[in-house]
Amino acid sequence: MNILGISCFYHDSAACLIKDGIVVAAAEEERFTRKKHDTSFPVNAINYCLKEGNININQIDYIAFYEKPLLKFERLLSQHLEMFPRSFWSFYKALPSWITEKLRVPSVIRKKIKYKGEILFIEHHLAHAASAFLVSPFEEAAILTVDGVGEWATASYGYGKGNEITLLKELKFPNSVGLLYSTVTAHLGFSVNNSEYKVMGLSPYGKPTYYDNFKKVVDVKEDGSIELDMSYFDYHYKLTMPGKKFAEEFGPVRKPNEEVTQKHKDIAASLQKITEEIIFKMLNHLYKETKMKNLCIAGGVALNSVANGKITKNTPFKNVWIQPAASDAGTSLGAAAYANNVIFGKKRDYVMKLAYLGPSFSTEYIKNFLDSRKIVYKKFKNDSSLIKLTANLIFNNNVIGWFQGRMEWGPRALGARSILSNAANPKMKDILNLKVKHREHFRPFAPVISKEDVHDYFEIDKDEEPFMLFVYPFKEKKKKLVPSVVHVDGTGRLQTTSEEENRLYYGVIKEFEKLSGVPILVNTSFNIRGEPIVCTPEDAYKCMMGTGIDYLVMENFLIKRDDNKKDIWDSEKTAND
Amino acid sequence: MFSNNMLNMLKGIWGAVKKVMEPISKVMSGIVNFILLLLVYIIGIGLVSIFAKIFRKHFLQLKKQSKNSNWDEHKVEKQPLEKYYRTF
Repeated sequence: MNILGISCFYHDSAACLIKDGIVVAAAEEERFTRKKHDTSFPVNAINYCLKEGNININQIDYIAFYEKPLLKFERLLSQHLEMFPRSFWSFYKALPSWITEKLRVPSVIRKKIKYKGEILFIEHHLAHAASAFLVSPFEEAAILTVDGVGEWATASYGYGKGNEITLLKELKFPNSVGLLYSTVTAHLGFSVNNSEYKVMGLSPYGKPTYYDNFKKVVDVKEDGSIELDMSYFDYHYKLTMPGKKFAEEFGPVRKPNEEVTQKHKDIAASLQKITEEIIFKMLNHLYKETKMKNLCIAGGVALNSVANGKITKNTPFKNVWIQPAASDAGTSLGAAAYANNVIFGKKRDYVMKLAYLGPSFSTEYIKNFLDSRKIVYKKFKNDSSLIKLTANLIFNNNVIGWFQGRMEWGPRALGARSILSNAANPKMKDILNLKVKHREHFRPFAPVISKEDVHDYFEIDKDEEPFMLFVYPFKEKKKKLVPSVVHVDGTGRLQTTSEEENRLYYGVIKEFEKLSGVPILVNTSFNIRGEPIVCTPEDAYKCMMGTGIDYLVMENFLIKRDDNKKDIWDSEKTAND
Repeated sequence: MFSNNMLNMLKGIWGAVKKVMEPISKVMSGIVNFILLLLVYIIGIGLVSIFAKIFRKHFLQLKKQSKNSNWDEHKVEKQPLEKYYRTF
């Protein structure tokens, strides 16, 4: 049975193909259209999934859509009915897209991809829950989903057992942890539905001095449910999120180009504190209700890796699993998995151990691309020479674009489309920022470490973290060995890898260890600021030539930036984030 | 020959008119959209909203409630296949 999952029209459109119970392909539309968080119908991602699955659209048995559009429309109408006449502008902006596509999902699907079969509609938070549990390694687990808003729900909890998922309760709009986080993101001058992770990265620089102010804004109940004082917010009737009263409480909204001051850092720290308080209370309540030791989390808030790393210390849960595309993109996977395992009762045969579900490119394709563009390159003799030379280049403080195998599913670069550099060099953070990323000084760079060494370097309660979704403290003695990946609070958002998981990536780490003494590299996403992570060889080459990446290791080809000066351009001039 | 020249001239004029008209038509369609949506908003949303306010019906829970928990009962389990075909 072939089931295609689709999520689209809000943010992070994506598609996923499940073929006879196995997830064979999954990708976000943004990677193909080069438009970050693309919301459009994911026709490119769907075409990729069909190609990867070696099938055509007529061989799809069911399409599973990630929400119930009419229920969402009901919520939207309720907002306007309640807030009349103040909601006119938001009505004026939103209604045309509802009329042309969001209320016509079946016809849009049939028209765009010539599909003639049945379409199943799975509630948004159920799709989140399914994306977290059905591909997890657990036979049974408690489930928590927390995001901005789906149809009506902003959070829900329940449990999964075998092939079944039961959601018990939900928190309803407008009370939303995700929207609270996004409101503060907007207040701090960052883009909503994009830069929440920047606020999280900013939080360790501050002190939670605004915690009491947040207590006025949000009433956190003992069971983790929340009640927002909506007089502080505008998002239920306006296109902006913080209200006038919010600005009176926390100071004026920061403009995007304004300096980030200590006050902004303190607001971020206070928000992080109250977010963690809410999540841990929710989880403790969930444990009381389910008494299960395993936990699966999904939704945009599940990408809060700082909170994730503290779950086992602050709740009775022993094992936590989060799917790499935990935000809305992941609901395409959840909808398809729910249809396969729950609706049609198929056995759960698939555990998501790795995130490499995107497109790959053959050496022949890459060679043709390089030759056709007259790009100067060298070919590695074998894998051993690739590993040795790459590790040497990194050890000599070069910045490497790393393009190998299938692209990652989810927002993190995990060794398929990564930028790698020397974690032992204390200046590497500045070098990367100057040469490549040009991002805010407060944002940390993430470490990748060989799996067997993780306990030597981190205070971590598990043996692996393949998806980079948890932040853990470095061991005190090790911090000075890898200064460029230690955040200001002594933590790192690590990824572990092993020979079985990614042979070349792991090989470079171990070879680098022979040279430097540390089995850790800086691993950051392979993209130009404001653009999605690269997908194709063309994207990768363009990215290298528009930034200060020194070398590109693309499958078994080595391309040096300085050998191809004719293609150099300045990505900063077009950066928009 | 003459007819070809005439045709080309007419095409040129039509192209120029289209070029001038394009932004005007965009403005016109924007105005029409605005008026239509304003009418829909006032008649469709406004009237219902006013009646709802008279009868004290609320569509969103915006006022603070003194409850110990804000979790709502919403048990979701496997349903018959037909229910998944619905968009609601």
